[in-house]
Amino acid sequence: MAEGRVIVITSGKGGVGKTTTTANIGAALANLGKNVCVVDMDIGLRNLDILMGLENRVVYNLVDVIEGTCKIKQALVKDKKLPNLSLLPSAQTRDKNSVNEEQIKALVAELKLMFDIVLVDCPAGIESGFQNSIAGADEAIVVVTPEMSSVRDADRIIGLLEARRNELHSYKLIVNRIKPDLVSANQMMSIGDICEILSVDLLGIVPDDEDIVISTNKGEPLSLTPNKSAGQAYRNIAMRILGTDVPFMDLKAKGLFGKIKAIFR
Amino acid sequence: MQELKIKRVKKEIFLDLSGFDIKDKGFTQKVEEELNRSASFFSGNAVSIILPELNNAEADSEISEQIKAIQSSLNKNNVSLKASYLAGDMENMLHSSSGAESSSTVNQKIENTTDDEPNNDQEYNIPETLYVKSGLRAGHLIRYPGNVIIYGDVNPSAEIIAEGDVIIWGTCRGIVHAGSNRDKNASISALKFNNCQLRISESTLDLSRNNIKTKSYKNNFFHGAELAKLENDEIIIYIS
Repeated sequence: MAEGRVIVITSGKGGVGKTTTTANIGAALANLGKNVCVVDMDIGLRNLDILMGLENRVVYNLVDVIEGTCKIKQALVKDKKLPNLSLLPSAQTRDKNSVNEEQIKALVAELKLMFDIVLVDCPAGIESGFQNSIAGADEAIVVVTPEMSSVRDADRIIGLLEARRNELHSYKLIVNRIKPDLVSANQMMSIGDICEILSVDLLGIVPDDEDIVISTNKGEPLSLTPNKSAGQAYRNIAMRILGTDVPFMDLKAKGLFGKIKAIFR
Repeated sequence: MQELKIKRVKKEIFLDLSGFDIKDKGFTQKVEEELNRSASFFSGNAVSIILPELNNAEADSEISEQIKAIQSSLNKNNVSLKASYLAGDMENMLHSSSGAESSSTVNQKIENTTDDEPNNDQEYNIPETLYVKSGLRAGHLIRYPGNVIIYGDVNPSAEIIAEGDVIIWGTCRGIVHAGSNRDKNASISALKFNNCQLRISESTLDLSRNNIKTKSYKNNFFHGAELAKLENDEIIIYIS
């Protein structure tokens, strides 16, 4: 069996939507028929299980697997709706120092043989948690929001990823939480501004959407719900990951003001 | 006594590893840890390493492996390796007046594989100008006792501290200090200055402010680029 791809989702800054992105892309990829595993590498601050609505099904976790308390298959939690989507939860009662790079590499190598795509949700920061998460990854996705602080942190992360060019052969960008109204009013950094600074290929643009908050609390990734713009954005990203060329969504400002502005442009 | 000693002889920096045991399996790892700890000090520089004395010549191939490992961990920290010496040779070299190339260097000089460092001229211990063939991202720091040329953008919170001039073939959004050794004739030029902090000698200019003094630069040679220079201890931006 061919080896799967390991994609780490990272950002540097916290709260930009790494975990939400991981859950949604994971669900979208599984919906496209791929065998997907999402790994929560944020040891000590377990979140991904909640977003996927699986918090009550977690029995064993990543640290248990590494310490040999259980087999990898025992720790994997299957999704409620998609049988080909699994979660490897992180430990809530341990911290990031309970694992090391070599152990993660071995674990990821094992997961690679079991799944088509392994998505790794990286913790915020550039310390050991980040270093562990990118160990064994083939590709990286950097999530950035249109704020200077997020862009600067992403820039630092990309610098660190570039230093690992031998192992990580590609890194792409997802711009999250863009507000088209604000961008067209010149109140928010545009996609162009962000790409100019970071000079990295763009993988997708996700609009800011209240439904994300609702779906997060419900534990149902939005990418499975049709007719939602953010959900569509995640589905497009999933297709681009699989190599399909999907055009970027047209995120024009809506409302009367935006329309008037568009006429005069 | 496993510690990294740093020597500076005639502008040249030596990392003395002779306190380590090269036969030890954890040798490269220990050295790497030490380097990571002190690397920011050398960032942007070329250094030479001094290896521990060896008893038999058979270990040569092993040593070249070790040197490669050290070189890669140096490169990770934005430092390039200039040459490597054995501890015994080093003693001789320090006492001789020429001091440039010892005849019995291990593997002679190591080819510089990084883009960051041009080949070293024998006459100069450290080349006058550092050419960096990539942009600088957030958190990157270049400290250099000469001129610096960056082929790419300097992004927000990246930092360059040069004793000479700084030339940026790209947009400058970071922090740039030229003439850090109180050289008032130093200059900074970039294709575009954008929201950055410039320092020349002991003066500082914050380009995110509104009242920036600019002058037109009447020299076709510089057409299109922007230049920052000191004038009465004040940084002036020249634009074409």
